[in-house]
Amino acid sequence: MVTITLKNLRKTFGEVVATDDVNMVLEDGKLSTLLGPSGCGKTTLLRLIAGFYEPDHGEIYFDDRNVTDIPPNKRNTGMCFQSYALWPHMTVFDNISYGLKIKRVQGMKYTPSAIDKRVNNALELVQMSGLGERTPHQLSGGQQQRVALARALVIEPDVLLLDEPLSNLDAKLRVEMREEILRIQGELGITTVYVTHDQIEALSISDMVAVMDVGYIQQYAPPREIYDSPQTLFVADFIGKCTFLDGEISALGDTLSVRLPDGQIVKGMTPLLGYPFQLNELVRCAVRPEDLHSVATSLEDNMISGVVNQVVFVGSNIEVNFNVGEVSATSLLPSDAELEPGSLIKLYAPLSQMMVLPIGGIDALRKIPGHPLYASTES
Amino acid sequence: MSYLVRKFPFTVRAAYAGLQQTPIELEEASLNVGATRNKTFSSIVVPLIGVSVLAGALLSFVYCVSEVSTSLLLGGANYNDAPLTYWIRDVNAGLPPLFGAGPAAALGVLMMVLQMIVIVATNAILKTRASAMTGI
Repeated sequence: MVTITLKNLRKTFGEVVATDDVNMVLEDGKLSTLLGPSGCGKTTLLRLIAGFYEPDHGEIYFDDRNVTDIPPNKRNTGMCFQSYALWPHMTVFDNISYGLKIKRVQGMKYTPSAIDKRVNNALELVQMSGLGERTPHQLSGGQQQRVALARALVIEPDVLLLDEPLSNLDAKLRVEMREEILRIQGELGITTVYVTHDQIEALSISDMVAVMDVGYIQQYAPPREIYDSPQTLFVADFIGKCTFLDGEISALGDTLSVRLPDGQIVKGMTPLLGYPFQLNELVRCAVRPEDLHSVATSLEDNMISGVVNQVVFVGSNIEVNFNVGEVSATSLLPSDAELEPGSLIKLYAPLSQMMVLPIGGIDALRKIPGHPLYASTES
Repeated sequence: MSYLVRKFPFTVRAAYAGLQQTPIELEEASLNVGATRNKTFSSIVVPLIGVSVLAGALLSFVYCVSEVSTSLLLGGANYNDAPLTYWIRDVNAGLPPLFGAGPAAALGVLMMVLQMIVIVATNAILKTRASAMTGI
């Protein structure tokens, strides 16, 4: 098992910067997720770790070993491709045993019986015993996925790389395979990097989540922290729902006061510790729909008033869309609240749930001393 | 040699199409589990594009059999090894007018039958192999 360290990685394709300024430590035995919309550079990053791409600059370490210039076949990683990439001209057994036949342990080959045993163990691990003689096209999507997983695991890799492994499966199978992957990862305790664009998938299975956008790591933190204190507007928007209110800072301090365009003042905290806010700086307040309540829970709560625009019944709750000045906002209220479109609404948000974030995303992160991106401003 | 030069592109195109249809992930997956580039080529790439190469080769063969211009040009120099099309012309020209047309046509039919057998055989092979690979 290894800890993967990425130092200042950058990869471009021609003029396009696929990923840049990546500094992160993927810890030993943990499941880390790269999460982001398509085209954000998450697969590029995974392929850099696998060795299919060479970075423009920067280094990749497996523990203390610099693997940046080592070809993919010498890195001992096990990768599951999005398309599974099973070899169609081989049986399941041959697909899985292929890597074992090549592998040498201290210069020695595996004996045929050892290969047999290991392949059968791998098939058992993914609950596919007895299907070794089939060819890939005789398997369902979920089964193919399992074979791909077994093939990656059977060579006992230091690192398991999963590239959107569940994106081709139907919803029910997806949950099943997700638990399967979690179980196997837990059983083997293998360092795993998981790429996905599904936030629920990412939040539910990961030890650590790295949210990526336009090639940059926006935030790298445990799932709860990602949800509770997003560090950029992108993260707040991408993970869960958020209502955004633009405003100007009118007072600094532990709690920041923000003047909204229609004159209301809201107070909030910033999840972005160390960011040098300035008076009259344009900022954006983010608040989750479930944190906007119809009754105040404490005296310090923010009161936001607006005009109800639309009321949507979503089962356990009602979703209220309302306008604060020009901005539309969303709140999730208990379904017994009686509201009509056009009526005035007063909602309360606890101070701690009103997240004040600077506009500018990555550039804002660069201004924070101690942040991984801080030092790289000049490069 | 002439045939080789003239029909080479057909085989190359077919092999190239085969390569393009083979996802790069299949090769990467092989590298990923520890295979060298040479090993990947021999045990992954060659079997996968083999069908396409075979198809291209047979196509070239069919073209060659009915090739006229090269046959006429080079056939005379090497009478005993001359191809079918040269013989057809020879039969047609060697016998008196109208008497040559019959046997030449018969030879032509023979040639078509030969071609058809090859094409049917190719299809049969490709069908089984292709369905084994794609599952269609």
